[in-house]
Amino acid sequence: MNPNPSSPMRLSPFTSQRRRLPLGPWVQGGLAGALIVLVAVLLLMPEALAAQGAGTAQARQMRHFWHVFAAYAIAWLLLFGWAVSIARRIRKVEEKLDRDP
Amino acid sequence: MRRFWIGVAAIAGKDLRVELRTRERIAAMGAFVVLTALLFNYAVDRTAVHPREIAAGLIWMTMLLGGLLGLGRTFELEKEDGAFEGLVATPLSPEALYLGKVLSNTLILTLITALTVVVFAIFFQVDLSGNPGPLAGVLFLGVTGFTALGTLFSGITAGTRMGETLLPILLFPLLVPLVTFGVSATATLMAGFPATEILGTLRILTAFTLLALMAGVGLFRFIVEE
Amino acid sequence: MSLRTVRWAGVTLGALGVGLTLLFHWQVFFWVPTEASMGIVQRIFYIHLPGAWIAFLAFGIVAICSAVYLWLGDDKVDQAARAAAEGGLIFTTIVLTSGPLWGKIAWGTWWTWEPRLTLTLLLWFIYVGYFMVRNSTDNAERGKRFAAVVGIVGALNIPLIHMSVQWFRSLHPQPVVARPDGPNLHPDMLTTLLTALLAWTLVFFSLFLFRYAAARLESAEELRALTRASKAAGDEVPVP
Repeated sequence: MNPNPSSPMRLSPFTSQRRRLPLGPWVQGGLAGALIVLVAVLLLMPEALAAQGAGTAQARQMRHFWHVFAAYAIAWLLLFGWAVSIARRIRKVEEKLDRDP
Repeated sequence: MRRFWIGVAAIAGKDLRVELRTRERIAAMGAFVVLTALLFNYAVDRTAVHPREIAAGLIWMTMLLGGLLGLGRTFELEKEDGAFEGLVATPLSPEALYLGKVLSNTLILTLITALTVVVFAIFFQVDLSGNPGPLAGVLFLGVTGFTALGTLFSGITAGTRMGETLLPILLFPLLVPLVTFGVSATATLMAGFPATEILGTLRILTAFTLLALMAGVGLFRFIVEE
Repeated sequence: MSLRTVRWAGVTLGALGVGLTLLFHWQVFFWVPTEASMGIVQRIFYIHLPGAWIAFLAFGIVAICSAVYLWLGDDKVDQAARAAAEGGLIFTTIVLTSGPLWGKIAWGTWWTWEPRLTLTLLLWFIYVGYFMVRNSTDNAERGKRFAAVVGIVGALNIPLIHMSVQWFRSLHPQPVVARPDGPNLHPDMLTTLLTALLAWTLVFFSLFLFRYAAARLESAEELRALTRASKAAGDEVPVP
């Protein structure tokens, strides 16, 4: 493979070999799954704490915090996922174009 | 212009004639609405709420689900043996084809809606004597709006691999105005209020129906063209 | 627009957008005052409202591009429509996850038939239908036309759906909810909100441009592969 930087089709900063994300689909899926589990655990935890009677006011405060955290985490994850999917598309096409210009 | 309407009538006449001979869609939809009404009897806890009190909503949902059954098959016959290409190849304009299909669908579905109302009146003692005229008008307007949008989307789903299973996904989100205002107007009339009470709702229902018809007439061309 | 211009614009908007995103996160977590009645959970607002704004903006782009595509039949416009729809789906999902997370604390329930939340859910389904139609036709051209029709009809219907969900709510009065978006928004909150709005709008347009460029590259590649294949088969083909 011989990257051809002068190709008129070259578009993105995502494509150089060095900067390639070392994440296969399994790793990415695993990361996403782990994050979802984490968020679920965090959302349920305050209720478990409250059930044990560990300072209700504090538990409520924790719960507020985790909801904010989950909302932002999901938003980041979705936007990041979209960016990665676009980068992959571009990389795939540019690799094809590089292979046989 | 006259030729256009003759084309519309020809398409509607063809569909209705086929329907009269086979009675496939009418039989399926008719059985569907009667059986749905029957199931509603067991689905609703009669000690908590009598089906009569929520009849307007039940009638509309039965009509929509039953209608979906028939609308999804609007172009079923034409899919076979390249009949659709034959229709498109005739000098008939796509707009006339669309309006003809809407006309035949509306007539069939009006029949089914009438059956639904009668079934509910018998099964659940729904009182229809208060405002029969305005009630029929509201239901007919709703049926027209539903078929106007449904025929357009049925043309789309007929061209996809998923077929009619795709139809509710496309159609239901857009039917929210129809259900909201249609059910409200029907419930108001059934409760015995005069027809002047529903003028506002009626205006929005009319707007929905006209919009759906205009969208269909304007866009159907892009669905049939190859 | 040449792809070079698209790339340049995408990178610029993206850099500005990411910078502003960092800024608004700092504002949200360290600077803006906590809302009195709802507490810290109100901070979800700063991603919730910009998400909703972009979801509807994207749908406007989808509708306009779909109409232009049906009118002119230019593939580029369709690619723009698809790029906007993909972004719209992402941002609608953000609204639909952040809304209930906020509502669970503020209203005590994950879901209420709050008109704007309901409208967003319906919009999400319209987007889903748009992609299902696109991806389930055997003929790609036809899929594009079908999707364009779905986009246009959806956009025509949005005002009516909006009226219905508003009206339905007015029939069923809900407990009065403290609204952060009332006219008496704290000036610092307003600043944070405007930063977030601008930041995400820029991020959206940057990703939109890259998605559009990716689609154009893909179709160029497809065309090349086709040309090559027919050349190999020995046909006379004009070089595109």
